[in-house]
Amino acid sequence: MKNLRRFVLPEAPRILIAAIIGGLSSAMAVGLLACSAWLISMASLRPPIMVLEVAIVAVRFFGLSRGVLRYMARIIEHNSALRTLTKIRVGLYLKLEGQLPEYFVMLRRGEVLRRMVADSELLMDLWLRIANPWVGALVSGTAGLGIIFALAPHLGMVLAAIFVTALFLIPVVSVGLSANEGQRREEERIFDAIIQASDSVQESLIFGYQKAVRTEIAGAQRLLNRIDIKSGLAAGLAIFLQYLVTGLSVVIAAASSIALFHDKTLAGVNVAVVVLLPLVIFDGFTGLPAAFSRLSTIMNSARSVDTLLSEPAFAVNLHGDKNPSTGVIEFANAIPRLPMVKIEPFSGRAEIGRPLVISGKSGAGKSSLLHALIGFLDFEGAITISGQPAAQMSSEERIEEFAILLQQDHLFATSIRENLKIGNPDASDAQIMASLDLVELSELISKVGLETHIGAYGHNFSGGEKQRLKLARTLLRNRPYLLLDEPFEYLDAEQAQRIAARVSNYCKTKTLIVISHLAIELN
Amino acid sequence: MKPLDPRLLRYSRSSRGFIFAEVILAALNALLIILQSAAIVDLVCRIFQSHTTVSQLRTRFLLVLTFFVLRGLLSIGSEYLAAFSSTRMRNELRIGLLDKILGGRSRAIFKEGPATISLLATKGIDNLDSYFSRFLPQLFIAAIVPLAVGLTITSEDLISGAIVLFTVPLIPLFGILIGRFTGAATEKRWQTMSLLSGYFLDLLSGLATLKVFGRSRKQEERLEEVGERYRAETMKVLKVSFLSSLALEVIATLSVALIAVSIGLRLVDGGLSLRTGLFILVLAPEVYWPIRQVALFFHAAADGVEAANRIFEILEEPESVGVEVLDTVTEIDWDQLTVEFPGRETLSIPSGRICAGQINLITGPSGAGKSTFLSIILGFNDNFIGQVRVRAGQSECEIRTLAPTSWRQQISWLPQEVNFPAATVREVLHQGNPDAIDSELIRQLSRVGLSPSELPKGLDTKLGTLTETLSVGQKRKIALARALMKPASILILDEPSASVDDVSEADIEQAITEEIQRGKIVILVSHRVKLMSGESAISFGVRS
Repeated sequence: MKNLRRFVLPEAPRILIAAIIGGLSSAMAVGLLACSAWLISMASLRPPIMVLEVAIVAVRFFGLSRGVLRYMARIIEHNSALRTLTKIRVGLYLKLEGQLPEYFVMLRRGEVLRRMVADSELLMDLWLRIANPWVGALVSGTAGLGIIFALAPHLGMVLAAIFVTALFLIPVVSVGLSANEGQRREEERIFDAIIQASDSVQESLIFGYQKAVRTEIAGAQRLLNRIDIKSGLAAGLAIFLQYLVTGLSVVIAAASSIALFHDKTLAGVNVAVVVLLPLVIFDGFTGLPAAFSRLSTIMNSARSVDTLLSEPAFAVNLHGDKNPSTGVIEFANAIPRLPMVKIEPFSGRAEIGRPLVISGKSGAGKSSLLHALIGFLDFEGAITISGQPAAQMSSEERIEEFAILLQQDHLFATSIRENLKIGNPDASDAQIMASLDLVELSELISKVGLETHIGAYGHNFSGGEKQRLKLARTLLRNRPYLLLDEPFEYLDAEQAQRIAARVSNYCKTKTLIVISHLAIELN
Repeated sequence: MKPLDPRLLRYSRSSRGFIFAEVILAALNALLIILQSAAIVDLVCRIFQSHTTVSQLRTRFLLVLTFFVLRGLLSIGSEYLAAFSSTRMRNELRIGLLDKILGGRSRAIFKEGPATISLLATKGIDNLDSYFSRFLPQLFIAAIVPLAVGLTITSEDLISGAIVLFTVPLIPLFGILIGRFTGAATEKRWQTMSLLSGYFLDLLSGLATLKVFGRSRKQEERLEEVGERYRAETMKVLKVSFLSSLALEVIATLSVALIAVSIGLRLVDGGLSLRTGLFILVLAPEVYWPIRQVALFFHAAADGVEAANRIFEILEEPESVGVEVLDTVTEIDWDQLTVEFPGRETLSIPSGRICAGQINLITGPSGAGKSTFLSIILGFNDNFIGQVRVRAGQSECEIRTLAPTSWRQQISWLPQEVNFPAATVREVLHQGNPDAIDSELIRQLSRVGLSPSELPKGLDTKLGTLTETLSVGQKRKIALARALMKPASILILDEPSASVDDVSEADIEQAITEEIQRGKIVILVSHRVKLMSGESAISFGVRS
């Protein structure tokens, strides 16, 4: 858990303080009972009222301070937990960002959703539900045992032994009997199946496989049920233990107080204190069994977050001196390296005013070739950019020279302006409109406005409009090389031809590489 | 947000038996608490007031221990019941929700997008666990135990009973007052959370895009900012809900202190016996503890309750009332159709007619409403003005009066964006026709220009998995083969030759022609006018 610790440690002191304050709050309940028991026992002897005064004030003090301390503890611990959560999320994002890009191009959404949201949130429970309540139980129990020890040292020691045993035994029982790795795998299966089913609900309706999805989910759920029930039983058994040790402690305290009372080592007014205190000493254990029964699940989440955080970052090549742009890109027998797929070598050359059009059968490796050029994939053979071997440049260095349109490009769920500004953060509205004009969108967009929200997955726009928005975004990025993967998808031939003419005119001083299965005239 | 929603009883059958059992367990629990307290106090008084020996009290020790053991056994039973029932109830809701969504009987997924729905069906329903297995059992304990214990206190000492009677109602009163604030705040938190998770998802889906624009690092700050906003929002809610716990805790502990002091003072006067005094002291916290606990669990369960509300909304959504069933469809015609789009101009689709035996080409510039028209024919969009008439021989129906299931059986479809389930190529093709043998599957693939040798593992190649190696064009061909294989009377093809090379395009053209000759209604949306030129084309104009 080395990587995770880095995020957790900065907040650890605050969390510990919160745990201690929380424990003190429970200790107030111990104080309240001890004081009240003494007060009532003393009162039954009918002393002058002055004797009771201090106890009366103490009882009220304990009554008030318990809630206040608890409030403080919870605010502090939740604040720290949420702050850590944000840090972990940012850490995870940075890790994924540093992965070999091909990895997140293929990343499935269910996987991401589960890892990022569920796991990181579960981590908060590790302190809020498990570590802090345990420390709290320890603190309040110590307070109660301290009082008993002061009144009857031997009894105090016996009860302390029982208390410490329970403090470790109850969590061990809860953890030992609770769910295991299996639960997590089943949960994953259900979540993945559900996410996939919601993504493809329309297709599943038309092709009638929604029943299969439902059966799959129900089957996984049945296994999960059995595991949930086992966890419930484990928690129940741990609570049983809590009652058992409380009962034993009460009886032991009562039995030994008889002798102590006879010896006059224990004042009569303190008998009630000693016998009743065990009732609250073990109070702090309430909730621990249920919490600890989830420990293995939480630890699994922690481990999977930790694993993700420890994945090696995508190797960045040595930074050498970069050649000034000559506008020439050359492929010589280049073969993108893909698992299990054989791709024919490709040779070709692009320069200013002489675009390179890569066409070929689907699956021939056109997009992979582009991914190799920009450093998303490894390759064999040679690719040179401005005369410099691509292999000597990092992906970042190469991308810095390019304006790229990927086939899997994404429109973000924000406004049109924000989406286009990804192409050029400094672009003015006029520049954005000019770029939209190139793709014949300026009329529509000036009507609806640049503020228009694109909607989740470009919901509010048609396929052709989305494609042209992406193209406009790429055109906005002013770079010596322009790489376009299927830029005219979802456009009719006439419109494609018009836009192609405009794009090649716009790129007169740039080098253009286009992947297209269409016979497009570029000059 | 109600503590116990009547809709729960309607949508989860297991909940009824569970509630009944929980009431019995809570009553037994109350009885044991009173008996156990009486037995302990009896011990204390005997030791303190009369000189006894350990052996004299042996049976009483055993009695005390027995009560503790019984309460422990009760806990095992109640924890088992809670876990068992929570699982059953969540299962029922999840399956109910999925049946409604996957059965196409809810519009929610088309309106809110798949991410919102899957979050609800996964994490949303899991959040209900603390509601079912912690909050609900505690709710019954809180209803029964304080009542029984309060009555016992009152029967022992009227003044203490009066204090209980006066202070206990303050707890729910404060709870309701503060709940008013937290109700709205919790809803806000849920929104922030789905916003945050949606934002995350969006960011990660677009990581490749951000990367090629050299913008991926910049998102770090934005992520931090959103996370910080989420924290601030959540803390605001928590401060209020913890404040309510503070109020409850102070009322509870101060009331116990008040009772203790009042007992003490009356003992001095000789108006009360020690036994009664201690008995009430031990019992008093048991009145407040369950109520305080239920308030605590309520906040923990609030997220789940919020999810349940949204699930119930979807479950209660009115369903399509279509019942008409038609034989093989031969003709569809429609008036001018109007569709509203939030934030955009109203879309207007010109009237038209399509029929079997010919190619029905839908053309028009992008944004003219081609995909919207398809979603109407597919039955995914019934929110339009105008009529779509479907004919089968002599019978005629408006599309919205058709029974959805039988209508969908008549349709086969190649969507613009294909989403495969995690399955092999063979399994995916079987979705089109489950009876087809392998040689038939291979024949269908080659019809669309895909030879099995292009697939790394032939028909066993996995689709929809983490490491898919097929190109966009290859996947579209598989989806097209699936569409061609389904024995349907209407074949809807949305850009069948997108991302496909020229050679395959000719194959596809041939395959489509064959389907038309078989008498299918073929609806084709294509920008490649070269394909099927000269056929009757329905042109959608530009948006007015």
